Amino acid sequence: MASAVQVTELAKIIHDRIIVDRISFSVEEGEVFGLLGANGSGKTTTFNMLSGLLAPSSGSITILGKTVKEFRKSRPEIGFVTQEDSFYETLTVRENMEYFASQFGVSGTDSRERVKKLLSQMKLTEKSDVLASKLSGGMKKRLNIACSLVHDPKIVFLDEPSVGLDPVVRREIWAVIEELHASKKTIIITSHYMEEIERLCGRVAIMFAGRIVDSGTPSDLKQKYKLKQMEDVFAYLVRPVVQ
Amino acid sequence: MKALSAIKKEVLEVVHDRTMLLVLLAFPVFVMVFMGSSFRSMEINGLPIGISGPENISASPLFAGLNESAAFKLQSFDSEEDAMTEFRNGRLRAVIVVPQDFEESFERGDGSEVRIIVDNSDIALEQSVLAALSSVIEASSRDITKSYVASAWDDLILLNGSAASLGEGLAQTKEKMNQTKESLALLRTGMDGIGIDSLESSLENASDSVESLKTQIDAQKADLAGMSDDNEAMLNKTDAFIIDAGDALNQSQTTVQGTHGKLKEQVVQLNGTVATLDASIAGLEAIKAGSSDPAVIAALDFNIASLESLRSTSQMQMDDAQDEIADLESLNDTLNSFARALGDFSEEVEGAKSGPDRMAGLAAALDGASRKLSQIDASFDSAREDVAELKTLLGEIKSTTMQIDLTLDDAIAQTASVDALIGTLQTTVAAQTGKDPATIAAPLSVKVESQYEKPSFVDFIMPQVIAVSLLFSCFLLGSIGIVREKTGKTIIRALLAPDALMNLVLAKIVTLVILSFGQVALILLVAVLFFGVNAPDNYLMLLWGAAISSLVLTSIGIIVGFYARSESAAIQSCLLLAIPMLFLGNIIFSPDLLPAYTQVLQQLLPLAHVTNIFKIVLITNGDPAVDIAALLSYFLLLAIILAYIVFNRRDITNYA
Repeated sequence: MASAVQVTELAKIIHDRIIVDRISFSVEEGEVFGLLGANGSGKTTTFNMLSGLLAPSSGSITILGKTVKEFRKSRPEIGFVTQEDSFYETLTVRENMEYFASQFGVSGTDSRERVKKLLSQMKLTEKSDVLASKLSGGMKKRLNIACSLVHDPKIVFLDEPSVGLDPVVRREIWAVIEELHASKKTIIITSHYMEEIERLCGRVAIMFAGRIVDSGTPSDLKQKYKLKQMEDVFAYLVRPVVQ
Repeated sequence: MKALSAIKKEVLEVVHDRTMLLVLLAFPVFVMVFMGSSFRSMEINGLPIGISGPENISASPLFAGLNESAAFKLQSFDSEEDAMTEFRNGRLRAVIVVPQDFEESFERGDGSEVRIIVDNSDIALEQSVLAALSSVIEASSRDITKSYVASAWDDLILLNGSAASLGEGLAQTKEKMNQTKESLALLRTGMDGIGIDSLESSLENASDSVESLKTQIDAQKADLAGMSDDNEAMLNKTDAFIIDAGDALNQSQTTVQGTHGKLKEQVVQLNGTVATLDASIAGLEAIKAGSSDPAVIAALDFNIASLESLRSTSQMQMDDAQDEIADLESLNDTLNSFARALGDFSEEVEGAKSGPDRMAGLAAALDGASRKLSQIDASFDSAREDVAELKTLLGEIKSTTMQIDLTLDDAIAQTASVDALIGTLQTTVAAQTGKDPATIAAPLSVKVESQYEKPSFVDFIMPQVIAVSLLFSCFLLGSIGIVREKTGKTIIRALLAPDALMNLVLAKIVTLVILSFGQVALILLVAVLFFGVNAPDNYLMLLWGAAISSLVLTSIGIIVGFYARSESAAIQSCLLLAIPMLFLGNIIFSPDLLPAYTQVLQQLLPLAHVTNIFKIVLITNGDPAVDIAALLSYFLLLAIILAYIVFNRRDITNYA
């Protein structure tokens, strides 16, 4: 299977501080890959570099076979789901989706069909003409994901998709991600919820102090460290912090 | 402690918020420095003024005076039309139009009139320009005079000037004195008409009637003895003399009342005369102050002293006349009392005629009447004395008026000698210069023309109203719009989609430009419908003005939005930028009245150009090309900054 994302010796230094320290990993097409780490471990910075929102200090990123220099052209292939909601509260659900579709060059019939499909997929059809500000927390999260998928990207980045959500809404979001996986999207998730990682990700990379301290499938990692829970594996790998 | 802790927290919040700190510290310092330096001196400086006139105008003292004045920056134009075009385009604050025969007029000794066309849409500026121009023109006028009479004649000019001013005062005083004389003549005629002799004789008649009545009563009382009740002849005789006495009384009463009325009128007249006398005295004092001839001064001093003394006498006489009026009122009361006594007597006689014992009744009535008449007779003695006093007083007043009249004649004669002096001076000046003395005194006259005629002053503030509205709406909507994209994280999506950030910025600018059209249209609609403002003549230019103004102001707002961290920071930053613009943008103060450095600053700030464009489009009907070009240059610069932001601030750390 071809690599959708190839990261080699990627580093980011901000104000003389190493945020990401020469990390390397690859994600296969159709795979759900998790970047696991505590707050401040560098996973969001890595994510921003992967999505082109932040220039790397060194190293290389190849997305769908294109280098960083060609990266801008690849952006329509990427869907980025931000941790916080990023849509217009004063527009309706449909208006938001149509606007973001237009910004990625999807318009006319294509846009209408895509929006209709996503509304259905995200269970927002009934709320399509409701102002975004009037939606419940779960609906807002689904709209946020829908706005990122409206141009039908091949790779979807989800930055801590369930942070701050109640267990019911969190499960709704997981269901949406599983649907995306079923539709052969390549998905990269950052999270510090072990349950989320174990349930959704085929492989994970655990980050600590800007470095990837280990990676593999959750079961391989548990087996490798002879621990029953991913949480224990995580705690073991980041133990200097715990101590 | 809780309150202290809360105060500490508030202070820390302010200290940690750099924008707020800047507003708190920089703003008051700016306002103080700006206002202090601006109002340290209210003299205008380097005001652009146009002058058009004959070819050799630059050689005239007027041109030299204007050119040397620090208040003005003089530009010469070949024609009035050229100057007016620049004026309407907002490049000049006033135009001075000098007639083509300017020099020739002076050669002929005719003087010349200079027209000043001012921008009356700015009242403060208009007043300052006129004051400064008048001062320069007055000085130039003196220079022109000097050039005619040569420097040695400076004293003569002053003398001529003071003669002109003295002559004016003299004419006024003469008029006042003549008015006083007329008033005195009227007073005398009035006093003659009082008819004090008639009053005297009426009083004597009334007194005689009383005397006669008493005598007849006494005779009747003697006749009554032994007469029978049916003596009709006696009764009829009594009736007849009652009627005679009544007639005499009526005549006296009419005379007293007439005299009383006339005397009151004369007191009023005397009051008026005293007032004009006061004005005459003041006028003579002024002539004395302006005169340098000791003989004239001495004569005027004597006249003034005499008039003041006579004025004081008149005042006393007026007070006496008031007393006499009171006496006449008392005399009238006495006559009334006599009339009542006659009435009572008549009734008693009538009662006696129909009573049982007619002769006895009549005798009793006659006794009563006799007693009453004795009392009245006594009061007539006092009335006679009052009338005699009044007669004397009237004579005195008449005498005083005659003296005033003579003194005034003397004063008028003295003023004639001043008149002669003035005439001599003017003749000398005219002979030496060969010019008309009036022209030499003021060779240059000024005719001020207000350029713009609008139905109300609201027309003149329309440019400011539109400029302020656009300033705040474009600044605030532009900056807050971008801040909301950042805080709402929607800007991240714009960073991810190709060209979306540029589209976002362009969309905001275009939308705000379109909204500004609506805003300007709405302001004009309200102004026309509710304030009677004139509708604009050139809608296309108005549209252009609104478009370029909002383009520039929105671009500034958007740039602020990119750098502001929050909505409140954006608002504070907008205020920090807007306030200097309000001070220098021809909104609150006329920039021409502010110090020179602020005039440079205002050219660097866009709001002054925005205001100018709307002033030219709505008021002057000129061509705002220069201001539009200035704003286009601004926009070009702002577009470069925006392009730099759009293409170089794609890193998410700029929006975190």
